[in-house]
Amino acid sequence: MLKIENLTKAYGDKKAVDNLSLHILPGEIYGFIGHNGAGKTTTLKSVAGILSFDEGDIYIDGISVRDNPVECKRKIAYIPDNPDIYDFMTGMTYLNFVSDIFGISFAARKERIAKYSELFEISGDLAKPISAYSHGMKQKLAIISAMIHEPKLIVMDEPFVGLDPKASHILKGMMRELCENGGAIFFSTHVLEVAEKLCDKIAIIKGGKLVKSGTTEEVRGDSSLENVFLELEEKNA
Amino acid sequence: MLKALLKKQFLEVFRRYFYDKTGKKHSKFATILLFVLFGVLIVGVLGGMFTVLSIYICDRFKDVNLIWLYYALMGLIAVLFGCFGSVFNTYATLYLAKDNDFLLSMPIPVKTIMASRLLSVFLLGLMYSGVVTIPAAVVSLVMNGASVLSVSGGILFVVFTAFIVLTLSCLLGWVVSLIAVRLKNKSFITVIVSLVFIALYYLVYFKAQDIIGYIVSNSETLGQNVKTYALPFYVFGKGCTGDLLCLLATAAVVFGFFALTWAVMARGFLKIVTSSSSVAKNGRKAKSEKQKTPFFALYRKELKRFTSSATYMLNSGFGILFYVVFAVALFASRPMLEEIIMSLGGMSHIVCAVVVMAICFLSSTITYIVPSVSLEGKSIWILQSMPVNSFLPLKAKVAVHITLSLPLALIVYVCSAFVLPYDVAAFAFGTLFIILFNVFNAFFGLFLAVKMCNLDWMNESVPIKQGLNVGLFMLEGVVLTGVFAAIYCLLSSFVGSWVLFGLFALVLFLSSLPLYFWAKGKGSRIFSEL
Repeated sequence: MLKIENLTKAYGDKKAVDNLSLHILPGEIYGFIGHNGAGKTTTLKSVAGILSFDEGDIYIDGISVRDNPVECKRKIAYIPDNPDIYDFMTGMTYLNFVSDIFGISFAARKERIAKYSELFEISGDLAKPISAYSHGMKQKLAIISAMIHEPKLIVMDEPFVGLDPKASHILKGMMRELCENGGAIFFSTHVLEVAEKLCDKIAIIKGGKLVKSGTTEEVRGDSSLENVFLELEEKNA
Repeated sequence: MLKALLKKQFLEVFRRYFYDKTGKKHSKFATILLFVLFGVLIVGVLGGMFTVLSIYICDRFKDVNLIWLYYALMGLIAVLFGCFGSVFNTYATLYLAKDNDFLLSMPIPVKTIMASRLLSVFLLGLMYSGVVTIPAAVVSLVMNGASVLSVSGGILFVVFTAFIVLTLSCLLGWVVSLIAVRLKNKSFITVIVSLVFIALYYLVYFKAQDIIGYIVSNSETLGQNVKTYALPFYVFGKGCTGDLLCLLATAAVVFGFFALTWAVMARGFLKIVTSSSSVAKNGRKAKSEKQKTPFFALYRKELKRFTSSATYMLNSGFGILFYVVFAVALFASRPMLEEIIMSLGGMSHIVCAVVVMAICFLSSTITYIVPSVSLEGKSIWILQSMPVNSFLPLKAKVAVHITLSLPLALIVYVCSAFVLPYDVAAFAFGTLFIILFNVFNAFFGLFLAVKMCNLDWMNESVPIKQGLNVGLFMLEGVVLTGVFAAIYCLLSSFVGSWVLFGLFALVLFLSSLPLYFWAKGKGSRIFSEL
């Protein structure tokens, strides 16, 4: 589903991501862990086609992001760490806007918007301007807009920040459901307990380099993910 | 408590006098210098202007023993000046203050918050009206002699006027806020109210001399009419001259009216403040819409962005209003234009060319596209992560710009054909020239928008009003129309108008092509990586 091959991205002299390779298969929830500034967001944005990269390539369903970014973007959805959404629109205007861009028919969007907005309990707020939304509501709206075109891969940067416990639970269910239907999830998080419980595979990045990856069991071993992470941090310091 | 609130309120108003843009404190010298400059502007320039006006009016009214009319007239000027200066400030201070929620969460009575806000509004109103009333009172006392009663009348004249300004500003602000809470698009109200005020301001500004001249030369008749038909004005003016009974009556009316306003506002203050910030009253039901093309969706998004911001509409779309004013002015000055055309004889086509250039210049005052990329701000990830060619969002911006600038330009041009003697070929090529001028402008504006983009603004007025690219864009309009006009004047004796318009259109077409290809290639790449 997602293949990252020798990805390298530098900002000036500093390499934010250095020769990173990852392979995410359909049906997998892949967690991406690292300290602040480790290169997680740069990697996720490169996968989403938002950032250009210096070396390597990224393939989504076998299509190169470098060569055919528009086709790749059709297959994925991106949810940023801070959902800065057009505050001059209402929630519904925004969802209709995203639907138009992805070419979603009237019937399909109507059904999906109703389904997800009821699930996240914001159907009553969709007529309100986004400027009146709380951080959590914006995050819910960003998630709904990501689901509207039924993507094969969802790339999420800290998706649980700002969500209430119920919404977090719903999101986890949605992530699992998407993977059961052949999709895949690639997300970053600082909440190691969530990663440990939710992810099929985990990658740990430090200073732009991949320091460990594999199934959750392989990465964790006999210890907890928190201990492994802290040990790796100390070891590579 | 009230003192602390007032201190905070005034620190906000005069923050720039103590701190710079980055929040760094100015030196004491710089702060004093800024206050001195402010004083020179307010007291020196404006106060000086109204002192001269007061001397002129008082001198004439003294001779006909109509000092009460002098006070009434100066009071009216002060109220107009004060209300114009403080009505938006009142609305923003009372209802749009960002710290309303914060203050309401503290153990401060709502009436104290209101009082602190109103006191600052009063003092600002006093500053504006005082620029008129203080010189007026001083001039009257110097020219007519001072007694205890006349000095008291003069002081109360200043106070009464400031209270009238406060009451009217509060009422206007309250009405605006009531409407704003109920309306979907508050930005439109702000734009309309702003335009009405600007129009009134310029109307009064241009007519002021005539009006004052008329009043002065017909003072006796006017005085008699005011006494008969507008008694409150007479009582107010008479009171200010020192008539005790009239003073008491005026005080009762002014303070009574203010107390009533306070009571009305106090009842709805909390409701308005809380509902305006949360937009809670929204009975509309959200509906899914029929599928549109990605381009049309982006086009609508751009239009929505423009119409949702009063600052954006007022600053970047003001040229739209200029078109209307220009069209009206063309029809209004028809006899004068006919005279000029007659006197020019064979050179009358120059007038037509000037009008075409003027229309093009007005197009350049519509700057919508220039801040449009910067205004994407932190939301730019939305467009960048979407499965569309990165040229498509830029194309949508160009389309909206042309929609705002071109149709009205052509309508004004067609209107001008009813007033000016175009020949058919010149009119046709003039049309082509105007179309291509607008197209060139749109792509040049896009070039500036992408190349000089600033996504890190905190306040949208920064890219809209203070961007260097906006200034460059307007300069381009002036230079380009100036150059075309100069070339026209130089060559029109040798070649026909239509040839020149055709040539200009060709130049614009050829200049637009590289800008178009830049936007499609490099410009799109830059945009996708911002």
